[in-house]
Amino acid sequence: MSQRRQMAFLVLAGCVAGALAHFADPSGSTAALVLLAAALVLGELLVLRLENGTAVPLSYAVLLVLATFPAPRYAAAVAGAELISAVLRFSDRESGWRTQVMVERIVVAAATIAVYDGLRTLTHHDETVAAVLFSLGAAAVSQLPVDLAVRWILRLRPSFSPRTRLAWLAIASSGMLMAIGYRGVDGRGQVGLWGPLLFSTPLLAAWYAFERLDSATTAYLQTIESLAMAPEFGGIVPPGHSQRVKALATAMAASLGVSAADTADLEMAALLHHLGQVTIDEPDDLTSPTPPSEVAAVTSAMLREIKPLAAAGDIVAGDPADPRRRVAVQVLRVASDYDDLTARDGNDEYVAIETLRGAPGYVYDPKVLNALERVVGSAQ
Amino acid sequence: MSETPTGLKVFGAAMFVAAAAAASFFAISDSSPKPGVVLLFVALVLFSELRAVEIEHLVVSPGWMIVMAAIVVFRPEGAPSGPVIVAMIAGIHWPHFRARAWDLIALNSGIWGLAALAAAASYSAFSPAFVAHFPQALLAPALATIANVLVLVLLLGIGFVIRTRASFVSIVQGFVPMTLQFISFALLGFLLGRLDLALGPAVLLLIIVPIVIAREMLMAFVKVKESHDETVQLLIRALEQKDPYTAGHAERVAVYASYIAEELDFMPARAERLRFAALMHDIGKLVVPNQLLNKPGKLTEEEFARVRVHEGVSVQMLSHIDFLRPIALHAHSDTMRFNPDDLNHPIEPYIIMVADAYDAMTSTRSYRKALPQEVAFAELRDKSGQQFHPACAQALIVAIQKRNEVHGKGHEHESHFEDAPEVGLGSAGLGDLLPDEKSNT
Repeated sequence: MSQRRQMAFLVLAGCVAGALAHFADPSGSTAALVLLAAALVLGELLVLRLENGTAVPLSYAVLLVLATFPAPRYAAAVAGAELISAVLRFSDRESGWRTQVMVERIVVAAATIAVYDGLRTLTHHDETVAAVLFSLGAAAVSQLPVDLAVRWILRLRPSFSPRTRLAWLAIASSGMLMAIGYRGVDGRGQVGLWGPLLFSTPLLAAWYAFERLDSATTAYLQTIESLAMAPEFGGIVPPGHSQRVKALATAMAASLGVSAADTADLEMAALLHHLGQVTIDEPDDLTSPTPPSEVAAVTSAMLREIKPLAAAGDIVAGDPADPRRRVAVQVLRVASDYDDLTARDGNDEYVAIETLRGAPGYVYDPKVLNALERVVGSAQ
Repeated sequence: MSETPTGLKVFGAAMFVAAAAAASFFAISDSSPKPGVVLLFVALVLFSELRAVEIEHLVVSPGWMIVMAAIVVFRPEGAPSGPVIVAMIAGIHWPHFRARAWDLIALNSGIWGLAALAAAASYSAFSPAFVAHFPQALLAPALATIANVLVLVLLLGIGFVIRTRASFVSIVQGFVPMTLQFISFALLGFLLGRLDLALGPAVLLLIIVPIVIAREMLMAFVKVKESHDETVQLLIRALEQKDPYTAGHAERVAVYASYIAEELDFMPARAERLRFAALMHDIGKLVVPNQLLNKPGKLTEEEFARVRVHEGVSVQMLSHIDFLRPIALHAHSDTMRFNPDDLNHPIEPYIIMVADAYDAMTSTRSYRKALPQEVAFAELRDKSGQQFHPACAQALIVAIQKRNEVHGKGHEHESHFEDAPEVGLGSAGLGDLLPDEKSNT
């Protein structure tokens, strides 16, 4: 079932279940609980995508609304919603991943109600705006560290990038507003389900913006990658060279503590460092290939003309006089030469690293070679 | 910024004076709004409006939401000048401010103030009957929004007529999609106003946060899109370095493709995808050696096969890009011919094929000079239904004639390839469609 169909089905099923609940319990809040549980499942399908391929679900905002119910009903709604989400995710990926995600969601849900109920008790269920906002805010804020901790333990790639923080902030503030609209304070400002319904719209706008950003970023990176394939299709470099160099260079940069922005430039440089070669006239004598320095000069001149790739052009140019790019230049050189020694010349890792180490001192920085050894060692 | 007509300047000044006069009048006759509350709302407007994002001609603007909240909040005070002041600030289009276009600022600000006054009057008239219960309570803000939009459309419409001399009806039609956005923002603003009255202004801040974050992400999106656009230039420059004869070819094919897309009523997102595909359609040429691309005269069979490899490579490289894959997978221009029975074939590759062929015919290549436009049109018509998709060929001819554009012999942008033969052989450039060339290769 496509995601759109799943969502349409969920909205329909949620409304039917809500209507049934209303008949079963006309005066109580069971119908609202059922509808919010359906919203929780919807929120599992709609996620704010982050740079590292992970995501924060909008359902965390719905948890804050549900937290205003008594704990047993909260637990029932969360359990039901997680069960349905697990079924919907069934076709998705391997079972290990599904279980991990479920554990993550349940732990965050438990933390949310624990913090909210705990603080409500501590403030003696004080019905003032400040006390209610404080309890809701603390419950919302507690979700982030709990989620990060669970992700860290389960090796689900925790992210604390600026974009991640904005995603959490959007979910937390919307969740607080949705909850306060639903429950009101001391009988004032209570608008029932209209609160979560209408106050979710800015969050949905944020979701839309995150989606657009994610698909634009994907298209951008894929365009670069397809350009990177040109020298490989042209038979100038072995197949997969640019992707392998990119992966190796990224890992080495992480090991050397290079900043995220510089690593992004390094990735572009790694993907495109042979591109200029396709524009150079092929020599008639194939035994004398174009010297690497000329390839680097042509490629970097091309990249420097394109504003977002200018920094990558500097790295490809390999100018050691630029202290800011010195490490990136070295990483690219080592990663590319290592790939040539292994993939093109058929050496094993040990021989390749020894060959690089045996080169005269000014060619390769020993620190960068150590990083290579660490990365290659940990991959084995 | 283009010069504002005098009539519009006068009209704008009149609107501004009218709104300011209304605000002052109500402040004196009824009661003046509490300065602290006005300041809070002005701060909210500034915070959410200063970094307005425009994507695909749709301005995402929560200004009206805050004006609606102000209408709700100021109503019990009996101070209609409050929302008028807030709306006059919300109406400012900040790029105008940066350009110091005071006449346009006065126009927009005045019109927004008057529209808010109409909305506040409507809300005062209808709200007592409706505020008690949801969802009936939502009627009052919906009616207020309609009052607001009516005044806005009327006055902005007059402004547009003065400026562009277009018909009023066509201008009103342009505002229709905006109304929906306005109503949804009005409901939010209404609810916010109610919560503010009941619980205090802290709730207002909570809603601004996701809106500002959505904007930040949209701005990041616009930036990535710009980077993407610029990166495609990298490809185009690389191709031009390899083959100077094709300078400007990719851009022209993209323009022709967009003409066809417009004739065929493509949605903006689809047209954008087509534009990228058109700009990148020759990506596979990157793997063809320069000597072959620029060889004057006929290619040997072996060389020709090598050149043709680039089409398969183009498909492979474009397939790597998710949003182009549906187009790329169907683009085998060496074997592709129009087939009316193949209903699953997307039309985009046919569009690019027609655009590519037309540009190839109307520009000078290493092996021959540009052909006259009539010859190119005749070729498109001749092969329509066999080689070319008839709708695409027809659309391109209509679109070019509509624009009174002339391409081809004697009308080229670059005329520095003097040494190309009048008619020659060779097939390095695709789409060279003279019948005798085809039969010779």
